[in-house]
Amino acid sequence: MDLHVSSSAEAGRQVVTLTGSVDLASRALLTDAVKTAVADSDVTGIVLDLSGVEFIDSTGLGAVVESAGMAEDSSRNFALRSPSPRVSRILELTGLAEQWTIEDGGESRPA
Amino acid sequence: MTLPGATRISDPERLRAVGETRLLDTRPEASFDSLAGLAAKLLNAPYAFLTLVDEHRSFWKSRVGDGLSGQTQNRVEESFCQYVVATGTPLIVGDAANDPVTCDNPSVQALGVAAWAGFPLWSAGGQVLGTLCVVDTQIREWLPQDVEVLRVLSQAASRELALRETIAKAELANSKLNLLSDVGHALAETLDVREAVARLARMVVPLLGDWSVVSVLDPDGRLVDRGWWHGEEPGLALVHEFVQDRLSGLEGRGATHRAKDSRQPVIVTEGALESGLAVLRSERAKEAYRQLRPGSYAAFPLVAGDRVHGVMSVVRAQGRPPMTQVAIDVATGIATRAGLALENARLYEAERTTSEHLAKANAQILASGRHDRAVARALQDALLTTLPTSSEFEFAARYLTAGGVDQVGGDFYDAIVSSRGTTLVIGDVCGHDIQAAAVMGQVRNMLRAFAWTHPEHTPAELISLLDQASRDFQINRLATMAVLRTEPGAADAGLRRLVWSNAGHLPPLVIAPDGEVDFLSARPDHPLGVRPRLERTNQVADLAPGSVLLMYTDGLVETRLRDVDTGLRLLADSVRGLLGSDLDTLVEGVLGVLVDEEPADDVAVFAARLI
Repeated sequence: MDLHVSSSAEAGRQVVTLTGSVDLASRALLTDAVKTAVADSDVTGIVLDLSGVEFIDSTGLGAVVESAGMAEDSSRNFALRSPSPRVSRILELTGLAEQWTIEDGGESRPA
Repeated sequence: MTLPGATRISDPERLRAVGETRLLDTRPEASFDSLAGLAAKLLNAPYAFLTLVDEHRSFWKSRVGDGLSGQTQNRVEESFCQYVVATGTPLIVGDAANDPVTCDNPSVQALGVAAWAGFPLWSAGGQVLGTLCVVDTQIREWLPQDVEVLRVLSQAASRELALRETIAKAELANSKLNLLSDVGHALAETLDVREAVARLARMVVPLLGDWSVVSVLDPDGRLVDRGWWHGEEPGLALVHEFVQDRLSGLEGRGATHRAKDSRQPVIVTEGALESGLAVLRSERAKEAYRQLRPGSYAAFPLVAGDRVHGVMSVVRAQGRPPMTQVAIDVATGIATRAGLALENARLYEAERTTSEHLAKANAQILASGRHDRAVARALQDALLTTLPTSSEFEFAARYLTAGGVDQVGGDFYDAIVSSRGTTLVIGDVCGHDIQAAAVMGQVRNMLRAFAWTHPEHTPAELISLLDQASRDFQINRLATMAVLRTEPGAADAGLRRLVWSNAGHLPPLVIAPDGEVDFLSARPDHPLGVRPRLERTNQVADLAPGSVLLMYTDGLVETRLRDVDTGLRLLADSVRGLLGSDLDTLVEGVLGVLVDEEPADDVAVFAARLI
């Protein structure tokens, strides 16, 4: 139920890939990764890859909102990538799906 | 100078309540500023204050208005608050210079106070703490709606004060709970249990007492002091002196031995010096004890089942209040853990240990921690809403707190009855800490004030006001909520119109009188606390009398093991199985089907039946 966070550069954007559970115990891993990414002046945008997220609770959603806020404060684009069906449903139910660009991940999910 | 009503102003009970707010001489805070700000704005007054009044002065916790410079208080005899505190009733004065109560008040001339209106702020224990008041420099007539708005805001302020009181207590309780878990770790990690137990004296100072002595039974069954601590250097030397031979010849007498013999805590709340000196035999111990100036003394037996292994004494100096019930509970918990650890060691040393014994002892240690979360629940209780009487709805609600000790949630429900109809609210402030509960209190209070002062606003407009207020007052928590309002006279014959707006909350369920079960599931708008891209929207539902609205938070339907759609289906099915039940049975039944005995998340369920 842990969260694994990895970051990689992709055409100027920093892709933060999350695998596992985003909740109270792990939310700081996400926000720390985004904080580091926005501190890098070469990074033009932040993408959170959610394809490997099995569970997200309200504190985890709060961390995603905070990440979007950090990106906006530092004038970076912000997008979510390939949320799993369970996460997509939560985004829909919380009215957050319309808030952000949600992109498909190419190889990770067929269009 | 003796003031009229001076007795009430200087009533020690009242002054204690004012002191206990711990808000005197503190900085402005958003939650109070928001209420004072609303008062000034809604009453169109140049100044508004939220004050706390002690015997000398009126401290301005919040002050709104131009030209106040750095002033944060005035003397009680210059204040108008004195009249409110003295009488416990509101004071509404349109022309201060010509009002018999206020005409001699120096502030009328010196500061140009021409009109004043204020309501008392009450502590949970029924003491007047101060006022929420507005000041005008022009003579004016306070309209009935002005007075009513101020009354509602002052109630919100009183609730906020009560919430603070509870939070302060819960934070203290929390640090004590942490102590308890530290003690558990210290006992679990050490090889030499007796050493660890002796070190407890050091761990409980200063949180539980100013000094402490831990005594254990020697093989002959006599108490021997094995560990001691004092928070200050000279005191430590005195305690060292005290324990050299204080116990000799005291069998059966004194708090420490009585705790051992009775296996019950012995609490001496006052006069510990005198009662100790009457018992002690050693002149050396008496002299040290005298210099330690003990005020209260508590002795906790280290017990496991019927067996006593020692006693932990916790002493507070004169001038510090005796231990509260929470402190006593925590100390008892520590003593129980220590007793179990010592029992464990005894069994081990006696080579009669089996894995079963160890497992049992460890299970007991765990179980003794379980009652501790009752303390955290005190906070939740303060946040529960007493639902009003409404001519449109009958209500039932339940709130279950999560299983863990540190789980204090931000779920809430509310019903506000205004001149135009009833407003129903269900919401969830993200997070499980005391801060989440505090934000929840603020959000709920603001929403109440908005709903009451803007009966004509749609739910989307109300939530948008909250969006703005949250931004202005820098409340940055993510929160979901659904707000539903009855709309008078808009629906077809026989139906009632409900206008609702959903800020990212799970859809309320409607149970029609004919048994049809539907979610109010139009696409929700964004939650509070995000920077919105889109406007908030309203939806409409026309309901027949007898329809039931069932509102709930995510803890009801979603768990780690059950995704939200499965939970929603289960909810709808369980409701179909409960058709025709009264509201309480419905709420209980739904909880029974969907929630474990120890839920991992808080759960609020709120049902309203249209009359």
